[in-house]
Amino acid sequence: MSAVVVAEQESRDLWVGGRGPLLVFAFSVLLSAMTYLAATNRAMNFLEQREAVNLTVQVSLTVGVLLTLLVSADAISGERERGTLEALLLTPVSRRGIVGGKLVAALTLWLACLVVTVPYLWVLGRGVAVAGQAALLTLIVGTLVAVGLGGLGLLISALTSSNKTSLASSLLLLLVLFAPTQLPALPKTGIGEALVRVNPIGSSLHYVSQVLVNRRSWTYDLSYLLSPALLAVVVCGVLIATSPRIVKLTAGVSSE
Amino acid sequence: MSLLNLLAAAVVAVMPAASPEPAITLTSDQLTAVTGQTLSLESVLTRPDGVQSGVAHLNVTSLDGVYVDLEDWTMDVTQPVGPDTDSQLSWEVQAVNSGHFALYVVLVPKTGSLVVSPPVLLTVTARQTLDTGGALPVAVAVPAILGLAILATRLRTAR
Amino acid sequence: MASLEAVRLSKRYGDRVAVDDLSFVAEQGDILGLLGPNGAGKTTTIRLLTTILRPTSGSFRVAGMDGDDPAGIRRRIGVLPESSGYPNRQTGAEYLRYSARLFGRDRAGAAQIADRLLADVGLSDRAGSRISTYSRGMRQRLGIARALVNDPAVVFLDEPTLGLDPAGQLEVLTTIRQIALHRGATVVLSTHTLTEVEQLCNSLLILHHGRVRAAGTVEDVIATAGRRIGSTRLSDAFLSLTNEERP
Ligand SMILES: Nc1ncnc2c1ncn2[C@@H]1O[C@H](COP(=O)(O)OP(=O)(O)OP(=O)(O)O)[C@@H](O)[C@H]1O
Ligand SMILES: [Mg+2]
Repeated sequence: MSAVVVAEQESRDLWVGGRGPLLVFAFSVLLSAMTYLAATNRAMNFLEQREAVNLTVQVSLTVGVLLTLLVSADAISGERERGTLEALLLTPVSRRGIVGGKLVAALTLWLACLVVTVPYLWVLGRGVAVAGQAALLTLIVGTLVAVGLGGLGLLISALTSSNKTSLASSLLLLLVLFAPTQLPALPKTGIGEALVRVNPIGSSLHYVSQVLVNRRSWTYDLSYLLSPALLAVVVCGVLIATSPRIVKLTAGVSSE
Repeated sequence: MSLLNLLAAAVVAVMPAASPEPAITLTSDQLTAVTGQTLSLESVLTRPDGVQSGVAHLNVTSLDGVYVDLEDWTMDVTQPVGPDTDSQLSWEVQAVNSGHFALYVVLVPKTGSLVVSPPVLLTVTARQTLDTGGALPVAVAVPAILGLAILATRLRTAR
Repeated sequence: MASLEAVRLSKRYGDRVAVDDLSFVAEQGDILGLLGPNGAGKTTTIRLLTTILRPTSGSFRVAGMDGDDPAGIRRRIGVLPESSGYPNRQTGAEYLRYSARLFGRDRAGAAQIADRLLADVGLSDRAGSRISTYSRGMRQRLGIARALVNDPAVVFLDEPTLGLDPAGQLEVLTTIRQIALHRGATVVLSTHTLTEVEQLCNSLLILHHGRVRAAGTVEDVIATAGRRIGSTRLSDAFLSLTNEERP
């Protein structure tokens, strides 16, 4: 119950006068630039259109998750630094409730990014009837990744002593996960495939492009969703288990 | 007509079947499509001795020199042919590029030489599905609406 | 029954002892002054009693609740933390409403409490302004109002008059006196301003290096320490109790 109150107020702080609207605005400018380039490309034919939709989904997913991670990485260390955490810890709200409320608030940013993505998917996917599928795919796969990485951002935020460290570690983490997806040609079998599969972002992007570009069925490469799903479940589990111990005035696991 | 004549005619009719030459024919010889359209094609294999087995392969060749990535055009490029398989095979093709193409089916038998069907001529016309006219309004409108909304709330709270 | 009780409470950070074997009792309605030089352990003591920190050893009871039940204690106490921060983007009213809701009030109840407390601390006219536009004194009063949203039985105020001008100090002190008088709450007041203690507190706890140097009513402490040094002023007693040579 009180977790709902936390989520409500945190979302308000994010959206009313907070960073939320500006971040989403920047996100839409990025998608617009991409869409404009794709649309003015004369050579674009039917297949490339599917690829354009896929690219939009991939950028939306990656950048949307990045923004979510930034917000969640600030959630606890930021309050510590601004001196507002002690007052929150002094309320009867459970530590789990605090973490849950903050995670939900961070996820509203991801949902906003998703909503902003839909018109772009629609305009890029016209004629090949792929926009609806792409939007649904983004919702499901993106939410999975956003929960996992947003939760991870919260964990990092609880465990690091300064906000700067928390934000930097979270960014680094995202970079490490994202960089391999941009390697030109990972081998499709053996180690290359394993690398893609263990990386929640890499495997999510792979799954999405299999469905959107290669027109596989949703179940064809479903096993690629294992790592983002596992990440989400494990991170939530760890948060539930450890938040009573790690959400406190000074960072760290041991001394209180 | 004498019985002998009838017999002779029968012998003549059976004659080509007796010669062991298999053949493949396609159900049409001229097709048109727009990019993105999926077409289906049937091939009929005539196997005079009924035991031919091997692999049937669909091929797409551009007559304008455009590069054709077969994987994009069809999911099943090859189909096995055994002694018991239906002599009629169906193929699904998606028109990926615009231009003039020839589609044909080859049978690669276990033994013997290739059997090739006559080509189907496919003309694909481009469909301009993505145009600046359609995408630009969205690319401009979405950030503009968001920006205006932010501006409006800023102005209201500043007052 | 004592409203506040600490038994051999200790808190160590590695080798450093912040609070050492602290025992004391405060009754309901008491205004307890917590005195001591910088680093004496005042803030640590308050954080132990308010369940923000877990003690290394010892036990305590606050407002009838055992130290093992932090959520129960938190429901019955109000705290103004040391150098507390405030969410700059929220308005004063929003901040208090949120706090009240975290203590389980519904929307309407929270709004009512916020309005009443804002009036109590003299912030009604700025209720709708963002906290970023508040002066230090206004923030401090907002913090005190926040400490009262749950009608607490024990109120902890860690240096509430820090950085306030004389008029601001007076306002805050008046508010504190009202809390004790009208609400019947126990108040623990940590401060460096000895005159505040003399004006406000009926009992006193002087800490030094995490240890209790003197405890009792203000008069008792002055009398006991003053007899040794021949003075009747609290400042003399305080200095003699907390000078560096240890007994
Ligand atoms: N998180 C911490 N880690 C290590 N040592 C700490 C920590 N917090 C406090 N201390 C130490 O504990 C001792 C008591 O600190 P505390 O903040 O309780 O003093 P204080 O009486 O409130 O001082 P002040 O009047 O300056 O506010 C100090 O020696 C301090 O250095
Ligand atoms: Mg202190």
